[in-house]
Amino acid sequence: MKPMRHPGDAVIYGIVLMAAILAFVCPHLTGRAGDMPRTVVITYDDTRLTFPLEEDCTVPVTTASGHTVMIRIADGHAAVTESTCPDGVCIRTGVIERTGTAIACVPAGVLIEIEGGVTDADAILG
Amino acid sequence: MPMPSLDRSPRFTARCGLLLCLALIFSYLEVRLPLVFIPIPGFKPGFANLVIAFTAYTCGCPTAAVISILRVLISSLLFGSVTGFWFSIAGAGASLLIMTVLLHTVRRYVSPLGICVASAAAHNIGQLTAASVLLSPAVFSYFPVLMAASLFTGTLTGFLLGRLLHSAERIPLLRRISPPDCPPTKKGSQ
Repeated sequence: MKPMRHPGDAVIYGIVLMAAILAFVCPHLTGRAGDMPRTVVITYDDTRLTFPLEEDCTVPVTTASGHTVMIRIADGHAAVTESTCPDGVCIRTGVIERTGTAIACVPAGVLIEIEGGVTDADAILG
Repeated sequence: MPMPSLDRSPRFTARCGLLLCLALIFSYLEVRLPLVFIPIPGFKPGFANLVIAFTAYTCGCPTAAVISILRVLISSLLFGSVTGFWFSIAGAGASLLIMTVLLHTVRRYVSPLGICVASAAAHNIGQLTAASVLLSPAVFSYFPVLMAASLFTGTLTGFLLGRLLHSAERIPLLRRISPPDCPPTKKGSQ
């Protein structure tokens, strides 16, 4: 038998393709894609600061131990740009953008985390 | 539509055993050999589904259902997990459902390609539904990717299924079993 010349195939392909496209486009149109906006949470000493990831800003943080850490939020990323800590691991961590990722500056006692948004479906479906 | 009874002849039992083993081998290979060159989690070519579709075509949908459920049970026991079992059974159930509906209503208008794409899509929807119930509705963000993937894998398995059905006609053990257990493939009686 020839696996061609069946009109139903075109219909099925069409439906699946439309479902894929609609599901891809619709959340963007209605703005429900990310649901919760992602935020950058900076924790040090007993302070907890929250900033939207979408708005660019630079946050200088001075801790009780005397360290100063500069946190830059830009283009949907967060990164430590300057730090007075001795080893600079926090700067070398680079940028974070995904929910659940974090930068820690242990000598200064500063933790920068990304929260909110849709959790990644990776590693769930097997 | 009369529900066809399962054939109990040794020949039929032997064939079912063969098909079940094949489906299990493919399940195992898909678990053990992740497709590193296609970096989509949960992406499988669906060769186990190919065996199930082949069974549905040549032995009827009830037989395919039995083999599919047994495959999911055994493969989950042997190389799966409890959560994995629910994903698999939801996927297999949805895929079987759509396959049965299509084969019993629009069989003459749909080729193996269409059947495989539809059942691959249904399999993914079933898995996603199970995942959204068990884990989080957020997994539906993954829907477009899986639909696109099922177009691809469905086409691959559908093409193979078409060739297989063609070749199987010449192999006595694999030839389509006479009605009422299965409706003819070409003319579409149902």
